[in-house]
Amino acid sequence: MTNSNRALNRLIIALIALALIVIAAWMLNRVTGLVAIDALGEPDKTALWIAAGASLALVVASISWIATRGRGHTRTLLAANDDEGTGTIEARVAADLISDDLSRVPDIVDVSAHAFLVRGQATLELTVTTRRAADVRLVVDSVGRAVAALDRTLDSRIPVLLHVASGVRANLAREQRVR
Amino acid sequence: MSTDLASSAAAPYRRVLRRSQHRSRSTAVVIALVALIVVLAWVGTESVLAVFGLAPLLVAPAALLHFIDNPDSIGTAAASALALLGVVLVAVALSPGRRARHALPDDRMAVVIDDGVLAGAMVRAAVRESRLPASRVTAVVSRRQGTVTVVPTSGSLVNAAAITRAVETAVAALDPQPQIRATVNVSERGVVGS
Amino acid sequence: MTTPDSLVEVAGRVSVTSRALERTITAISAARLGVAAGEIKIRLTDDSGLLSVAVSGPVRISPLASEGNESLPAKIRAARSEIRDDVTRIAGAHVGTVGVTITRALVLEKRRVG
Repeated sequence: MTNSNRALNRLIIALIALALIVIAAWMLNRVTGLVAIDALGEPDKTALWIAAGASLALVVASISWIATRGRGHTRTLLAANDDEGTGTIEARVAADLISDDLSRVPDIVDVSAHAFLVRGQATLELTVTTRRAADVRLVVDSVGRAVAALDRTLDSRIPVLLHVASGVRANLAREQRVR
Repeated sequence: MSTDLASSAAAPYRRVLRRSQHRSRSTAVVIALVALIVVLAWVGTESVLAVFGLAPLLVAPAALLHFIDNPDSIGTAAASALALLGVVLVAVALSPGRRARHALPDDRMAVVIDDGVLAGAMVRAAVRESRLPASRVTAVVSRRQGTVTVVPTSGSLVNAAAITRAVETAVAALDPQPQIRATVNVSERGVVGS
Repeated sequence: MTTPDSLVEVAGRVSVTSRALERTITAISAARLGVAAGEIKIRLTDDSGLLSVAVSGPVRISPLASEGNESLPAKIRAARSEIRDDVTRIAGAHVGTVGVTITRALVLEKRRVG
């Protein structure tokens, strides 16, 4: 998701908001008569054609914008090509390996991963859900060790984003005894 | 002065850190655009039908404009609802959209943690130091502040300074960005029994 | 009378139905990756007359923390060569490119002693 995409998202929402407010203001103005503007009246053929054309253009633009959302997600973490053929490792493999390695850390409740493309480079996003009042330093260090081992296993250093999350379920769990 | 972790991190991590600490508003946009598509498709269809003098699908453009020009009580209510929705969307568009998260420095990974997790780390340190049950210790973390609230046992003294040191040490071990100031508040009212 | 499976004439030596060929290659790939045949998906295509094989499935692998393991890419390359050789030998097919996609990791459990 680029910065310009995010800015455009905000702009689109702002424009839609503006349109709604303008329509609402117009209607309320007609009721209260605050500002003297002539009524819209009957639409002539030109106005109708403009409305139809503008609607079509905006619908097409909207559909194309929606279609560009969610790009960047990829299943492939690592891929290699040689004359013998191809070899591909999917993100789930990293998730499985790291999940197994972290199973010995009691504070970690869940590990999930998916890959997304950042400037053409596959990045691994790990989401680690922890128990309430977990030993965060230990969790982060454990993940760091798992990632170092993954680097050796994959023979490659893939950019990793670690998101340490507080699961809703973990928070609702009964009071944890802190050892 | 807090260092912006995102700017000091390596290039591939800069964008990723920024992305994970702000909402992209993609879902909101998709929902809004889908609604917009439905409305525009209808308006466009009605307009075309009206141009050719055919019967309208639901409401003819002329009638629709008349409704907008002369709102009855339903129209006024609709206008108010639209205005409210518009204001809500403006808030969505203009809000900074910062997620309740902090970044942690790391050589290998880009690390972001939920503020709730950070609060949990502070609670853990406070519980360990004070030896109180975890139900008596809570913490809240905001962008630059972390506040631990300790409810003491009646009759038992609580060493607030020691707890504060323990919490500060735990926070320093993580070094969250932007930096947070750790505060420990001991509640004036205690709870009887351990 | 038409048979449901198309006959694939390979190198003029052996005629193998495509379904049997798929099952054979699936079994070979499963064996080389250390997983059950049901977990493997195979796609066979023509590659300018050669048989192109695309394998997709999990791999059985030791835990991250284990010492002295060859890397996964190396394992994949080795498995790919073995699959190619096996297919050539057993099915008698001229194999073009072989693509191996690892979808999951089945981590071997450390057996506890005692």
